[in-house]
Amino acid sequence: MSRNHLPVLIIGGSGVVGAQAAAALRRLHPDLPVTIAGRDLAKAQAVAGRLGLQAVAADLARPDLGLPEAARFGAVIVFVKDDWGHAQAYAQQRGIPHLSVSSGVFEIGIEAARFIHAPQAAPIVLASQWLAGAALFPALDYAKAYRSLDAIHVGVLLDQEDMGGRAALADYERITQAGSATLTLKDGRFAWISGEEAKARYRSVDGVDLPATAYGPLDVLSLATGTDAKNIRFDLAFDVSASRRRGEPFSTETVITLDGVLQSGERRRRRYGIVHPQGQAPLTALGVALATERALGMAGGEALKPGLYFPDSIVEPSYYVARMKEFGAVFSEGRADV
Amino acid sequence: MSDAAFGPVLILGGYGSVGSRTARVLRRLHPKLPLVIAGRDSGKAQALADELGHAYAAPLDLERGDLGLLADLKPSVVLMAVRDLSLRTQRWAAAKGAAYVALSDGVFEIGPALAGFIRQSQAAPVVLLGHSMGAVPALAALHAAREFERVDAVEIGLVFDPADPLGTASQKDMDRIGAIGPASLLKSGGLWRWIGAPQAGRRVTGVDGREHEGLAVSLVDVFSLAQSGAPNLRVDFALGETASSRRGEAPSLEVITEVTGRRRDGRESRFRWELVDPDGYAALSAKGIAVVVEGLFGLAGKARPEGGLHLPETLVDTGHLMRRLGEFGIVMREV
Repeated sequence: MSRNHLPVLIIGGSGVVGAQAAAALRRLHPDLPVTIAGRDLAKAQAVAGRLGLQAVAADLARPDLGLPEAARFGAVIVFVKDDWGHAQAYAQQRGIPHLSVSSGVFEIGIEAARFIHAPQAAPIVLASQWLAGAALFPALDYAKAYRSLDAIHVGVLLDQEDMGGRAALADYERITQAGSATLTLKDGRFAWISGEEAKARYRSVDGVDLPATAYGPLDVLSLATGTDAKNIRFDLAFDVSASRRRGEPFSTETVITLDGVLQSGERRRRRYGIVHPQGQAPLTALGVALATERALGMAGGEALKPGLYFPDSIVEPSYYVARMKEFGAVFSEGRADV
Repeated sequence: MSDAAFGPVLILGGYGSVGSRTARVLRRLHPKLPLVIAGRDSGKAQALADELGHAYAAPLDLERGDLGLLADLKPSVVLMAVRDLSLRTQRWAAAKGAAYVALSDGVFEIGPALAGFIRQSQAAPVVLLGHSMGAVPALAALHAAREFERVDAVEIGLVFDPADPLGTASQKDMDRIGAIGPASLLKSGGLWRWIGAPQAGRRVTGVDGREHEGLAVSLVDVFSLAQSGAPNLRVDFALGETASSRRGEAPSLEVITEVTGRRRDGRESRFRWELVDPDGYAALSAKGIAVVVEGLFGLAGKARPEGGLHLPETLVDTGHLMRRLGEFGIVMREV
């Protein structure tokens, strides 16, 4: 099946996460061709060469992305913020899936508007959840044990040495910019919070308490519509990970707390920890690869029809979690606190 | 229009400023279109329903999953003239197969409506209509841009008269968007940019030639304007005495549309259109919203949508809007 696929174009593919996404796609589907695109052709070629892939130069400032007219691709993944919207338009003109990972809640209207103006053109996957779903999917999987949920709290720790490349830093700075409030769900109502209210504490997987702040990837939207939870909050600690405190290399952490009534009728609060010892990049890469294989119809169902999607509207949480484990994520269930 | 295909338009917050004005415009355009006026105050709802005819009042409780509405109510359209920060109204509309029109979301706030749509994308149309003045300025600008072969910039300036202050709900929307939203979104040089003061300012010249200080606003108008393909887009609000006020008449709302580019007849420049609603901003909003509702029934020059995510320009042919405005005595003039 993979034999007939056109290459997946990864824009920003020579960056830290993009290169790993290419590798993850190849690991899942060894026959799936992947093309690494970057502003700097030599850099893209170097990364592609290591992975045995093709490389092209791409320029998001140009409507044709600076790609050869004859080039044909099966999907477009963008790992940098496309402020022009050219990559999405390129995918729509060719009727191929477009996946993006860089948008905050406050800015997804830009991609949505482009979809609205050409709804039958292509599948548009809004994959800007934290690490492309690495916190969201476990939370959705754990939520299945609950009959009703009072609260979902997601705390994530991004190690200060693990920002990834420049693209990730630009996203972080834009989404946390002064003045923009962060989306939460409080008592069943969406609330944009800022200032003191956005401040939080994050308890690391080793129990150390760290400062954190509310953060606005798309997770709150996905959790609010995918569960019946009345309170949802997502906090980010940009700090030192537990592994680095132990003198090891940095890791990335997610701590998910669910509070509600279990299917058994019992009221329970549960806390789960997820660590990836290689940091955020392998998880983000995997998340994008899972959404891409689904979009192309290589896993979980037919190829996506034109439409607007979140990863969690197309990928099964249990499948996603199983893949996270295969790709090195370590899961632990803490003691029930109540 | 009394057959099932034109089932009632349910207006949540129907007797408020925007809701009641929209209901009256809908009634004028469609004498027999059934309307349901829902609100917490049943007396107010009933009074408006009696005035409108072919309308009835309904209770409204946004804290309940069934919204406090009768189970057998099957609207075609749910128009949100109240603000609901939960997903209950959207879920209720989807369960009923009714089109959902979200009125007051700023650029940064549309995530919940979008997510609600993605989760139930086959249910019924969802319309993002957080535009200024019921999207009349945005659609009018797209209409003006239609006769261009190349559009370089679309700039809208709205002049609000201090004697025509925003209603409580509209003022709350603007305060919230200003206070908690990021900077204002516009498109500049092909790039979407969030800009704050002082770059956000622009002088808007009113219809009598006087200049007013304007400020870019972060409303979804720019998403609609993006359909023009122009690399430069912005919408500014200005506060200033309107020409009608200065003449001693009632305050009006002035919509100044400027399109830069090359027209089909070869002229290349910056061109200007003016549109004035002598009854002020809320009256213009009601007309725009009513025409979008017409679009949901396939009565605005485009096919009736069965589902999908929409902005007004996907439901309303801009020529239809111009004709409708003309019936109300409002004309967009090129100057």
